[in-house]
Amino acid sequence: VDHKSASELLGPYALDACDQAETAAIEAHVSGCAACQREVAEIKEASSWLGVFETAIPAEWLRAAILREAATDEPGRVDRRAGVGDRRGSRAGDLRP
Amino acid sequence: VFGWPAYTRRESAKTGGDRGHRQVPGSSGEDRRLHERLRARELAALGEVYDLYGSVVYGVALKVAGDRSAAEVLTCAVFLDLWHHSERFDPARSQLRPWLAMLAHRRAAESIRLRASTPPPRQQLMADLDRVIDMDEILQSTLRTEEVRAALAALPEDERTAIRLAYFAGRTYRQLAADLDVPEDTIKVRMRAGLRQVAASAHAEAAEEGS
Repeated sequence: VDHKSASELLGPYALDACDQAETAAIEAHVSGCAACQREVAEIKEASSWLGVFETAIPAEWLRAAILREAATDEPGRVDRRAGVGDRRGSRAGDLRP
Repeated sequence: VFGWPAYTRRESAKTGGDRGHRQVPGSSGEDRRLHERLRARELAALGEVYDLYGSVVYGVALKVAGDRSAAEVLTCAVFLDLWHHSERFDPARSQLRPWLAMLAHRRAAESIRLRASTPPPRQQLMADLDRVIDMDEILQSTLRTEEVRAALAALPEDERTAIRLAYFAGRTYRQLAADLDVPEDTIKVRMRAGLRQVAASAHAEAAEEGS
């Protein structure tokens, strides 16, 4: 996408309101565009606060399940996506005990 | 409109705004210490972050994804993201609470899109959750809760509505254009202008309070 189309989509992008293909296209543009990076940083900061009052109490078992997943997740699992380095994915399988 | 109490600068002045929060858990000092321990692979630190912010992550996931089981999977994915990619969080630029809320929202929005577009094979959901989100690093957050609340409350109704429905109902801008029967370009502009206004006025208020 060109700068104009990408920048017009930054609002929806910051609200996670684009589809996957658009999101990927915007991110490809933004990674090489300083102006868009500045704007995304600015409006993402605003959108990141929208949810902070949206609290709910999870089931008690979830805490232990997450810590168990974190403790047992094997190191060295490599994300196969090209150019991503060694960023590893996370598994979230059947959590419920 | 966001379900938050009306907010005025006068109230903020009376209560000292959110300033005191910086000294208690959830402050950047606390975030910094927790982050250092996460970087040192201390599992107990992950538990402490969960105790502080698990309800925010789960709450956002539940609101957007709409059911407990999906919210549980999403919450797990967010905390494993933090555990495996703690270097992506920069305590000098951001705070854990909004940062985790952002991760939760993005994952939840992705999961409902996926659910809507294809029958949800569990395998595929898991593969999607495996995907690492690349744009987190550019998030900065020096703002505080009260300033963002005030800025949102001051937005024009149509901008606030577009932002609220996108965020809390997980609607795409295209869906919203159809829902509200307005052109897609109009929705895009409302979202962008609204968020820019929130950022600008929240920062202006922060600067004023800080002076």
